[in-house]
Amino acid sequence: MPTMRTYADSGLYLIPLFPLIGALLWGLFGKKLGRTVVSWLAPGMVFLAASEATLAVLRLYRLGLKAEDPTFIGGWVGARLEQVLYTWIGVADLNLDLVLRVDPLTAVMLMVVCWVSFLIHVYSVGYMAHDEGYWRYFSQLNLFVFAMLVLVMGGNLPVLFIGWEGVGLCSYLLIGFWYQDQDKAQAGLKAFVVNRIGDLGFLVGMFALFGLFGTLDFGGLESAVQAVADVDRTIAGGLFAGYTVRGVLTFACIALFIGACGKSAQIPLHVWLPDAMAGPTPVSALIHASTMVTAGVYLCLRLNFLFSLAPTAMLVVAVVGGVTALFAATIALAQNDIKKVLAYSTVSQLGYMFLAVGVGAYGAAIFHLMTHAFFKACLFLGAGSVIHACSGEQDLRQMGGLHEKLPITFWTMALSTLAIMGFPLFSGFFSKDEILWLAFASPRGHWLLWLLGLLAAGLTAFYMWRLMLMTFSGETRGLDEHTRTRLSESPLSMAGPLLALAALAAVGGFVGMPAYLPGLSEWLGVPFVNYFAHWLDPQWVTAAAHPGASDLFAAAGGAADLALTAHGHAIEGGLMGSAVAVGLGGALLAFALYLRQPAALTYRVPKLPVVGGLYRTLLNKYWVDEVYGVCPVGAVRVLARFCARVLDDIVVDGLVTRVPPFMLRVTGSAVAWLQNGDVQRYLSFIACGLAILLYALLRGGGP
Amino acid sequence: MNALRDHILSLVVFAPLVGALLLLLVPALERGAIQVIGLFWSAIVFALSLLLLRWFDGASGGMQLTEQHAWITSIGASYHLGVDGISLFLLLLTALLTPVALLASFASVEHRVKEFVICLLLLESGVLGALVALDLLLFYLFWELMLIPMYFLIGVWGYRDRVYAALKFFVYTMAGSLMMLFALLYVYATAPVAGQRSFDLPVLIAAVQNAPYPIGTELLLFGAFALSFAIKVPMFPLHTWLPLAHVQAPTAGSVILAGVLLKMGCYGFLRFALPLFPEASYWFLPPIAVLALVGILYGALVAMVQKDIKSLVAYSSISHLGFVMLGIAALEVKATTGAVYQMLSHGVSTGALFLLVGVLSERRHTRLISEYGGIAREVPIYTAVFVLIALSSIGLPGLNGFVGEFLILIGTFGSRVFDITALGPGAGRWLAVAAASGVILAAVYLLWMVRRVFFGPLRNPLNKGLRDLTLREGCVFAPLVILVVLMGVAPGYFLKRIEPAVAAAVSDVQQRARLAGMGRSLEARP
Repeated sequence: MPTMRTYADSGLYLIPLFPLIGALLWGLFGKKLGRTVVSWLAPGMVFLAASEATLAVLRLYRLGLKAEDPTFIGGWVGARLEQVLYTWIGVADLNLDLVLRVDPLTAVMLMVVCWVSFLIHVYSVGYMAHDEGYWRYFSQLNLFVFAMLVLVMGGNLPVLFIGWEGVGLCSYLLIGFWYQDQDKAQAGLKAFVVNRIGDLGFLVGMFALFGLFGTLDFGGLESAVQAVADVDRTIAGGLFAGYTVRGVLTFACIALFIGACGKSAQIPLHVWLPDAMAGPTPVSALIHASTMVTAGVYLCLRLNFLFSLAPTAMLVVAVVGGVTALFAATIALAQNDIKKVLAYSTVSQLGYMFLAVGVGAYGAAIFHLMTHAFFKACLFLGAGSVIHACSGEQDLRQMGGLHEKLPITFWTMALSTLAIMGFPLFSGFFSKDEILWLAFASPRGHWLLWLLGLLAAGLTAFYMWRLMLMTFSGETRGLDEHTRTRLSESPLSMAGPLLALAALAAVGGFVGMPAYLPGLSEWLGVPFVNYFAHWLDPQWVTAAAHPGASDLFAAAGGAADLALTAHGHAIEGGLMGSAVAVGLGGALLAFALYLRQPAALTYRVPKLPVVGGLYRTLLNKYWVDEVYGVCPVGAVRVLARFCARVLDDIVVDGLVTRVPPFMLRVTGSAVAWLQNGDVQRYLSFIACGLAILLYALLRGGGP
Repeated sequence: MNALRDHILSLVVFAPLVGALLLLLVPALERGAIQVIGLFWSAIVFALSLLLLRWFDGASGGMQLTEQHAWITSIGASYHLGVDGISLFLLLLTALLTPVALLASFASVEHRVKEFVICLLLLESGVLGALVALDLLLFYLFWELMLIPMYFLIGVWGYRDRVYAALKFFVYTMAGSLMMLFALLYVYATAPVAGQRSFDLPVLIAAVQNAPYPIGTELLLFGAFALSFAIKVPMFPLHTWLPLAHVQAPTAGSVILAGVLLKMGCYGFLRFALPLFPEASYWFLPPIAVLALVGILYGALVAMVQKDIKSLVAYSSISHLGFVMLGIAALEVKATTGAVYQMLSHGVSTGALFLLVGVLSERRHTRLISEYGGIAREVPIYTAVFVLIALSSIGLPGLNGFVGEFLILIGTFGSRVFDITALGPGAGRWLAVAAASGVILAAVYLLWMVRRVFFGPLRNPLNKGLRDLTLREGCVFAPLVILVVLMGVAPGYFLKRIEPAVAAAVSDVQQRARLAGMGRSLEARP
């Protein structure tokens, strides 16, 4: 199958342009424009961007169909829209155009980013209605959308990096939005610095790829990869002489994955995301749950044709993803802050996506990315609604009994919880099921990876229902009288987005129904197609066609076909059943423990032997922050002090300010000794000189 | 127009000097008039320098708009000026920063205003002259001319320890200059020039090209030049005069010092040391690269624990200039073009940072971080500008700082210059990776400072009601903010004009080093 054709499209720049205009307008004139104008136009700008994006995707759809068979099932071969704006950096052999591109993968990201952003902007209008910095907020939120669009549309790595750093900047600014709180400002700083550590990997990965292929353009890299017939042959000349292409690619992919770990909060760079919850809740929903944090997954998917050739790098990705999924889920079990639970849940779900990437289940990764965006955004907005109603209270132990007062919030969150736990036919069911199945059955999968995912699925169901029950069931425990009497559902601007997202969380998974569902296609009497996977299939063609990735892709159909032929439907059905069972088990356990007395357990557990210690370990997040506080943070601080106080002040400065004067003094006193006015000494010098002269003359005969 | 074009370089170089002379006629008590005259005069110089852009041929890598007249014919010194892509934008930057620095000093410099303005104008002439001089003697003259006004700027208008700082600055630079003078005279006296001896740079380069020095001599000569330039940059471990000079210098002095004076060291390497002694360069590039790397990390680490905002910015300069020197040492078109770009962008960003610190210390007469905290609420515009400039200094893509750093790192990564040296093949790779970790540290020290100064609760009651940027200060920062964004979004305009000159210089040094024998093993490698 040939790779996708590229079509010039002169309208792509409009998509990021609108939010950029918005960001500049509210940033410069927001205060003068007033609350009403900003409240209407900030979501409006995102709506315009979303509309433009939708139109672009429709254009892409038309162009991606074969002329002789213009139907989606039979004739979809994919396409690329491209707009080159201008040459950004062009020096010698480095030529970086500012280029925007939309292909099937970008299209999915565009739809998710634009429309979820729009809903969250609308929600923010209600949520931030009384904040004095609303114009600053909307400026930064619009700027975020702009940067995120550059990230997903960028046609080469450095342009993607502009967006990558841009979203990081907005994350930094918005986490510290209430900057007068020291802790919140510090959380923003932490997020930026941890991300920078990842960025180092990103940069190094870029350098290595440029050294290997001489280009950083995605299209260029793709053709460069295709041109390499044998990835295991040693490179003869050039920068990487003596290495194999696969070796260098493995290095580059791991380096880029470190970047992805930073942005997507994977072990060991996950520590910033829970702290990032210091930002306003809509920000958590948008940036720290549904869009920015998935950028790392997107990066790996964008470069799937490179990762596919580097099995070692993929193994690293899969293991880190799987371990993170389980690790973060265990921490979420013990958290009492409603947003912290969701934050660790996000880390865990992102782990699933990387697990999928690592086993070559690229379509499943982006599918889960999408469904996660729906249900997690909904959960965060629901949490925001709860916090809003409880006058800022975030402690689950203080809540309870809110389902009557906040019915919309309750039902939307309940739907999303069903989705995230993978309850059959809800969106998360399809995506998570696909990941677990491929983690087991893909040629690069392993039953241990599957087991990690399965355990995490059980824990997910447990902690999510724990959160729901502690928030909504039983009696209201904390909260002062004033807040209790005023408990009421949020305004329409907040409820509307909740409903929309809950609907997507519930039914959004049907676009990616697996080709095999027990009994379904027999019942329907037609072979079933996974539309979502079909839409993305052209994206993996390059990798699939490459001989170096042949173990991963037997045919152009991708990992799914290969796994299917190897294991058959019975296994898929069995795995599906076990995942559902584990999820239900977790949920039932949560109901058994928390339905009657939702908060009692959190007070009783710490006192138990063994379990109590385990609980404290989870409550304190395995003390990772404390360890990092010693090394590297403390170590760098000590090193810096040493450099400043000892090396710089004493050694370096001491050497250059003391040694030359000392030498001057020595020479000075030597010269002074020579001419101290003692005539006898002068005479003896003269005598010595004469003797030497005489000797020279006698011996050599002179000049 | 033709006459103007033929003498545009002389005009730009000497206009500030003429302005300084004119100011002598104005009574010292007319402070306002002196400031306005100084501002307008330097603004006109900037406008004149913009004419260079019109006449400069970006496609050419050679010297342009050259002027050559007999000067001291008896010793073969001529008045020879020229500009190429390496010096063009440094010239413009100098011409821009002088009026900006003057405008910023309107309120802060209260005594000896006349002498202050004169000093700044003299300094400008010195820098501009050194940037376009193509005659070694002429260059040396301008090089020393830079030194004296700067000495007075620090020593007279500086802060408490200004006299010690000025002295240290002077002794350091002078010691370096003397080394250069010896080497320069040696080259003058021994270079195999046909006919009369000459100070002319192109003539000397051609001469040593035909008959290179023995490697031992060349190493000594390069070392002498390098020492002088390395002090100016300053490179680790010759940097300790810089934080002191910066902390003690008045704002305008710091701006010019960081903005352009330090660049003269980097420029000197590119213009003189490398082309005159290509073979010795190859010997010296590895240690220079390693010291540059040390400077990047060391400067950043020390910046992290500074208590004074200004000395934090000063140490960040050392780190940033480490990047520049790494780019030069990599001797690769991308890296070295990036180095020139980084010089400009550092001039803009760090210049702006010093100006910002100046604003704060004018208001509160202290620059200790611990005196502040939570002032963002009081001075929102100032905060926005500060954060923007800090981000540009950190190297956020889309702003100016990223372009230079990215080019330097990606070029160094692929540089093969170190392959035949003691650093071994692939040294460019680990140098680039290690240097790239400097970007983490930059985020730490700058944003940590931003957090402590601007965010958190407003604890110190003295900061209540702190005044935000005034209109005059807004005018100071407007051009710099515009440049920060412009140079990040559209670096192509600058890079296109820088690259040909850098490419010519780099390939020239490489080829001649190869001819001289260094490159034999270089070529033998695959």
